[in-house]
Amino acid sequence: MTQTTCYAGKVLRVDLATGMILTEPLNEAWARDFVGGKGLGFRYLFDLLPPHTDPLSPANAVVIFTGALAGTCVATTARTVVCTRSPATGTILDSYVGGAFALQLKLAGYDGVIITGKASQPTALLIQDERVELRDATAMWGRGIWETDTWMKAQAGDNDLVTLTIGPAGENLVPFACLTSEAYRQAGRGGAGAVFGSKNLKAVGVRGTGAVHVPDMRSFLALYEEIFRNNLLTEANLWANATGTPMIVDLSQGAGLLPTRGFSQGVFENAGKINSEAMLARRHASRACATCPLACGQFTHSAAGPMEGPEYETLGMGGSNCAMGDLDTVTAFNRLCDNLGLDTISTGNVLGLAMLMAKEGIHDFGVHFGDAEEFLEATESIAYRRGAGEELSRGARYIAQKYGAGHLVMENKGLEFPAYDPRGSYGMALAYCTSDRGGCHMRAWTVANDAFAGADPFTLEGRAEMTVALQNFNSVKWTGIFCDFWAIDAPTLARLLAAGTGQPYTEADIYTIGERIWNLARIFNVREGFRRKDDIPPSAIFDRSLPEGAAAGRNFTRQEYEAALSEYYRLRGWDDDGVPTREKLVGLGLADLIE
Amino acid sequence: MPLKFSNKLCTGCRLCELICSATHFDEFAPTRARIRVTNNPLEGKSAVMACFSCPKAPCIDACPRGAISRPGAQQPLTIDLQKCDGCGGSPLCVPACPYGAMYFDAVTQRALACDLCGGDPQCVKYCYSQAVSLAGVKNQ
Repeated sequence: MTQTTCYAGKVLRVDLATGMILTEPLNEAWARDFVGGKGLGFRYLFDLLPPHTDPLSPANAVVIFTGALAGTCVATTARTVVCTRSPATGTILDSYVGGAFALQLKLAGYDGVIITGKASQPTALLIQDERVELRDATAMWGRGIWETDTWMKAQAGDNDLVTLTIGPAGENLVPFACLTSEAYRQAGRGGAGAVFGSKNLKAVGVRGTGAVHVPDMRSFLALYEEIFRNNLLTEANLWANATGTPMIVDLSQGAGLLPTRGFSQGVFENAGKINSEAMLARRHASRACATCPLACGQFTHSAAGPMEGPEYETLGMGGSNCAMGDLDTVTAFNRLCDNLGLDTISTGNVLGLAMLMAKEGIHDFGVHFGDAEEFLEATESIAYRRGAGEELSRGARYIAQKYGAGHLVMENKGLEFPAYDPRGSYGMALAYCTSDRGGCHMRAWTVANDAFAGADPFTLEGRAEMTVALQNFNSVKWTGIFCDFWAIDAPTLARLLAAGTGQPYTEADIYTIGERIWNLARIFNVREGFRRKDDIPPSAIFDRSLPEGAAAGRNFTRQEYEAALSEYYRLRGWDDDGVPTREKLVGLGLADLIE
Repeated sequence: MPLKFSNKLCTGCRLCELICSATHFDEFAPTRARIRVTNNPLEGKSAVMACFSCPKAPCIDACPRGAISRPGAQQPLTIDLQKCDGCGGSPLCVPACPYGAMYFDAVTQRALACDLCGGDPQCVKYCYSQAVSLAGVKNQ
């Protein structure tokens, strides 16, 4: 970098097969066009992967990136993104984790780490400033996340080491195995943990003792102080500090879209036992990711043990969706998933579906609604792929196809739906099914604009436009990497990115960059065969109604959905099969990727 | 007024470290901060500490160069950067501090102690959880 900026200016490359470790300069042109985080991670990944790379083969790559502002004082920007080709969906994958990994990586002097190849034995990557080594991690293979994290700190001789670690689920290649950092924080969705496992990579640990710079510290601090007071510590964000995500349980219940009993119901009779009030009664401390005053983590003490969480998604998918109306059970489930390295959303969705299949007499996996003992045992069996867990570990789509439960399953592209039933907020169907990584709520959380905001949630009118706008904005927000819980606006985002990178980003640039990143992801997915046929919700959304609650009897038709999807493609500048037009890609500066 | 700490309120965010180093050295460098956070994520605990100008201030006597002084009780320490030579890399003031609140800057090879930012400590301003505050003053 010719100017002092927030970038470290270096990318670390590690090949596990050869043991080659080297650093290369950050690609400055890419940094300008894709900024950081999701953008840069995707750009590097796109460059690395030949078409149709098997996600669990040595040819797949793991691209770990910091956001542009990581290492600065800007709240929430110490988040880390892990990009790879997902073993759960076959799509491009960006999976995020909070904590302090990106802070340490930036302080160690790297904007990102690219890992390729497969190690011949269980291996850990240890990064301590310019000292980078591969260590034999055979002793930790088969061990849980918490033990491994402690072992990594001992290996480094440094308690401030921050890790990304897999548990047995990742080792056993469960397609919804996650990565964990700082004991309870996960890059949860899409199976990055299985990609680590396929590479014999048990953990990556990093500790940096260097510094992060900005072009003009005095003006940067002056700008941030104003934003900190007037934009961050405001009513729009402080709910995260007061209650954290568990408060969404009551919102979802009220809107009748709280997944209950395998998405067969939208209200849960025991929601009051797993809601925010129940959580607050157990709150021991508030915990924060690096730089964040919102401290949304609820550290609880209970009979199930201490932990940070559970968060809303776990309360929904491991609680109501499996008919577990007891916070001790949900906490025990959460702790199991955390230590074994399982995504709680997919695990809860799969188990809820399995229980529903048993109830409907389709197939009995030995799990039944409300039976806590079976539930916790099955969770463990999924991570170890033993007994019924072997089939369950293949995901909701697999068991639905194998046993004829396609009319019940809730997933898109193989990624299980999270805890917002689209029948209670129609826009979420479009948000899930046009998401670049399959059924995910984080790209466009449209439910916040209707069901949770007193507006009509039972319409697809205007939802294509809303989804496009949110997807674009979140794509650029995650170059920062800003957290979803800071409702930051585009002008403020542009000012902060400009102040850190020295690039004169404007509000208009922000939208263009977001759209560019979204289209890059789409090109990747199109290359892998994804088209309109893959952007359709499961049939239950159209054919099965919720029996009670605010969304009782509400469905939209497939025709209505198809019309909204066509509108979405039109707004995106994609053809009617969901393929970006050449004109659109040229306009976004992506022409070189389709030659 | 010296700084006051509450480990129970500390969320482990390290913003104080980043703000401190940015204020004093124009860079974000937690290892150059005069306030430090120790985290234990597994147990959900953190501790935060900086020099609060303790009554005995054993660091003053420990310094072989007479580089550490203070104008009065409860006043922040002054480290004379001309006199301080970092004791050749392992400064005696650091282990002398019973609170672990004296640090060493590997860049300048000098001791580091909280100077209260000349009276307007920036860490306090940014600590929303009030784990760091000024004794007797409620955070804004």
